[in-house]
Amino acid sequence: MQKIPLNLARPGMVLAKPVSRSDGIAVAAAGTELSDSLLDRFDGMGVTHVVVEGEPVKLDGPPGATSFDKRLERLDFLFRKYANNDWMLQIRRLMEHYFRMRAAASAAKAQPAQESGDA
Amino acid sequence: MEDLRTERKDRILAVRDLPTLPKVLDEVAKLVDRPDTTTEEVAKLISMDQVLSAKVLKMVNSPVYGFPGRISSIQHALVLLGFNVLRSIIVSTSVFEVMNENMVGLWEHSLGCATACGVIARMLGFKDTEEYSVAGLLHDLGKVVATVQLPDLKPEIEKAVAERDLSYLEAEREVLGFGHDRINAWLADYWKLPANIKEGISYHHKPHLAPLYPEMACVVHVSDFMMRLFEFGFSGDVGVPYLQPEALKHLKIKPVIFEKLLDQMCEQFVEITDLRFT
Amino acid sequence: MSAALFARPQKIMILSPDAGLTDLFAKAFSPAEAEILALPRGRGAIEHLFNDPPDLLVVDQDLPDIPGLDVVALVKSENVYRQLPVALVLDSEDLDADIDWVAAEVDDLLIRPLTPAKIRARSALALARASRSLDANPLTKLPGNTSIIGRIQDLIDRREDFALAYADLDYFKSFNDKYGFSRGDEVLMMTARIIVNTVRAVGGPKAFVGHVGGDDFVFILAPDRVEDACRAVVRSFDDIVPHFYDAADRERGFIQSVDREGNQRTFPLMALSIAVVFNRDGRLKHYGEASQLAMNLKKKAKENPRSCYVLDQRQG
Repeated sequence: MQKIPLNLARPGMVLAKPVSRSDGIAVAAAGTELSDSLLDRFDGMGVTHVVVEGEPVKLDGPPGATSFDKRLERLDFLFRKYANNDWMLQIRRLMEHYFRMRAAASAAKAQPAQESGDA
Repeated sequence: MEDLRTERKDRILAVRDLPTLPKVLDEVAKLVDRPDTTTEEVAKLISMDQVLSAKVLKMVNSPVYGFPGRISSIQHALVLLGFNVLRSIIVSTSVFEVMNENMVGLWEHSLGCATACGVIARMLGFKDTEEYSVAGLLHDLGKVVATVQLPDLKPEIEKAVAERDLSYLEAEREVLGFGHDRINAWLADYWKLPANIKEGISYHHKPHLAPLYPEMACVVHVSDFMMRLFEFGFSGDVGVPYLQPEALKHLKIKPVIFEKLLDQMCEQFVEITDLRFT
Repeated sequence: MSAALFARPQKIMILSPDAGLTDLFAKAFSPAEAEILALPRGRGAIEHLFNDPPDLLVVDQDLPDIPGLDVVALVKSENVYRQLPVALVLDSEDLDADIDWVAAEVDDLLIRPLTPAKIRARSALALARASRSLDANPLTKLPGNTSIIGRIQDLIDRREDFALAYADLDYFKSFNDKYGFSRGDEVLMMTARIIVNTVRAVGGPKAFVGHVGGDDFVFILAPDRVEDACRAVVRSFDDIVPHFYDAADRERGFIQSVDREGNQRTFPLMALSIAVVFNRDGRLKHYGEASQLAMNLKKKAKENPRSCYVLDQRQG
């Protein structure tokens, strides 16, 4: 799942967490598919962020919001000191497998990746 | 070298004015000023900041209060200190004059580690999971204290990391003569922090050697590894540390549990990425 | 100089921007007699003061960031620092201002112009006075029996409505027997802090906390606030007290110890029992009545092995 600013949310994305009013009353449940009218409503309510399934937006910067693809790319560098260590290589393989799995799962759930046009 | 080490240790322990990030201090101060604030709300906010957490634990474990070494929970500490004393701590706390990305990164790393420790402790069914979070939050405090008390040596440490690809810990040991884990041990003793916290923050690089609370040190060790794997925040160097197999064995973490932990961690990241330290 | 002034070097902390004042203190005492620490501002000093209290605190009314008397009030309001003697430094013109000396809780005054001899004499006097036994409980520094009785009787005489709560610890003796008096003292200090902070947070002009002795505490609050306070105190106590036991006992939820007859027995974790008596419409005439009523209520509270509070249900 991914927390994104409202202006990057698009119809078709699916809420991973419910959206509530400031007094705590839920306005849309987890699992709801976003539509233009729903997004307008959120905007009118002053909602700034939503949490959606998958990773439909290529975000970068905020820690932890980097995609699993990025995690895979970084593995070589992060494990660079243990290239000859059997145990750490084992761990690395475990991590690689995990990130691959998650990356695939995200891709399956998401809409075609939306480039954030206005950064 | 012995004299130099003693001199530096004395300088470390002489720390009086530990600054924190402006935004954190600001938010805590605002919260404490509201008339309807509860202890729980303040504890939650303070538990995200290593400096305020350290100050609160140091104060409540001071012999003056009568029960040194007993309190390892921020919530409990606040109940025992009261708002009066808490306000005095806030008022006395200054902020870093020169803020840079790396400092903010360290705060993010510590918060991430605190969160991860909580996740691990809960998943493994430990009691008093908040205390594991506290250890995770404070495990790099020694780096902050060294920055403040030995500022002339910091550029050398950073240089060693940048030029020779040393880990921050290796660079500290080379330049200072000791690492932040040793500094944490000195601070924990001097401030009379409870033994489990002490071991969590001074044995996290060699967790299986912790004499009394190895599970605490192992949890922090595993969290630290995960935070560096995800590059959550910045702890002075880039790269994963050696993951001690003994730590996984001691905690009985098998691959399937490890994966569950990673899943939970990813969920938690979504929660805490909203917090901004700037 | 003749015999040593003090048994050991005294720590004197001076909060003042006036470097001349610090100089005078340095001239007044030899390094063997006193260690002087001078800080120019109030705010930064407060945390340091709380962490590492000196033997004598000297506060200049003229601090750049916060009135000296405010610093004094802050210090004196915490039970753990009440015994700390505080001397206020003033210019003689300041005496004209209307200072409420009862509220100020200052122990001594140093009025400029000062000389080393004056400073030496008054500091030694303040330190000597502080070490004389006061009514305060020697462990928690909270007001003791005399103050408590005085306070209750005063409220009764003025026919003010108030709630009077008597709190004590169940199974405290068995804890002491097993873990020793030192750890027992730790529990008392912790209990004192919980009661003080909770009563203060609930607040109001009648708020008062006293320590009768041993594990017996007393607190006074307005009748409509006392139940909230009892609830909060009980909850905090139950949350924190397990951490004063060894891990194994904490896990088990009980300890093995010897009772008064010398038999092995199991005792639950300590619990707080509170009995609350009300004075409404001048019902009570004498503090003795209050404590008698409370003793009877307390028996009911103690029937419950867990922490609880019992309120006197009778109407005036």
